[in-house]
Amino acid sequence: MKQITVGLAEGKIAEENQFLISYALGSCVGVCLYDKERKIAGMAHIILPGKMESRDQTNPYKFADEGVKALIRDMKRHGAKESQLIAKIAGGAKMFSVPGWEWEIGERNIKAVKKALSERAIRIAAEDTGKNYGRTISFFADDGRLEVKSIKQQLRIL
Amino acid sequence: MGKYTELDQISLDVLAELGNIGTGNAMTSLSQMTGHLLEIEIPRVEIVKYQEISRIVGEAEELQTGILVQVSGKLEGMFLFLLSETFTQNILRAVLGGEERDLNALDDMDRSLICEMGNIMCGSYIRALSQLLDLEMNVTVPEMCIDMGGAILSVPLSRYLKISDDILLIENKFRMGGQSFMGRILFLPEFESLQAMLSSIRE
Repeated sequence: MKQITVGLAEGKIAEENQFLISYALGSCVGVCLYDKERKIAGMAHIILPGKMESRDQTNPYKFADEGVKALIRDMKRHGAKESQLIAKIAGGAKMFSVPGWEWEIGERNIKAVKKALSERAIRIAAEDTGKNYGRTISFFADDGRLEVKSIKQQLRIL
Repeated sequence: MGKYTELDQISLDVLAELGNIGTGNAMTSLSQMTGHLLEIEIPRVEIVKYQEISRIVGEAEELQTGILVQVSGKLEGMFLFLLSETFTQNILRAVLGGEERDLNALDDMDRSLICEMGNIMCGSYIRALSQLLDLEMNVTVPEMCIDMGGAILSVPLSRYLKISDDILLIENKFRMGGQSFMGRILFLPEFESLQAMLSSIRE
């Protein structure tokens, strides 16, 4: 099976016999979209909740709000139907227990991703979010399964 | 608004030298604490795109100990100490003795030793800088996290990405005994206060 790596603030699409992987998500969130009928998978590795929080706004995949939109657009370009899409999300951990609103990036990322998905009426089929550990996620185009690997927990399949 | 990429070579050299002095001081403290001699490599000052930052820190999934300290005052920024698994093990054993530990299940004693080490190292790094520059700086209580290196790094990264897609990184590598015990100190200064500091040096 062919691996496609999704780096920081990237969004990529996989089709048959391919899978998408994002390494070591901390406070970042991996947004995965799937069109079951056409077996098209998409993954975005977002870092910040919204583009208003960043001075440099050129790359939509940095942000939850813009990143979800960009991923839907790219998936449609590959032939996916928006009405068929379901979502699986993972990440958004709080790695350090520093108090203060500006350190709640993980949680705010999750909220922003959920808001963006609900605005496009995309159902979240599964999630493994929050807590305090890093995750590596693999999303498979053939069946839409999401594997979540971490150092502290057993492998989870969503 | 300025950008890190506008810094000239002299500024970068000054930063490398400051990193050198800071790390030297921090290492002396750590050597005293562990009773082992530590070697320091020449620091690297780099301006990197955020997409490249994980490549610099090695394998993203590798288990590492991260100690995060915030700096405030005349120079604002963040320190991140990244210690490899073997380095962490060695320090714990050098100071507290005992067998090899499961880093995912450290007891309070081990955890507080690591935090204290971060405290001492960061304190001596910052003390060296503030004496040299005659600037007042404060550090927060260190926070510790043992997990995938890439996931640890995402925390300071997300803070910096708000300001700039380029990140200034002062990286110091140090080792204890041999290649396998690798640690890094990343100092991520914020741009505005950094520029003020640099211009005060160059006057």
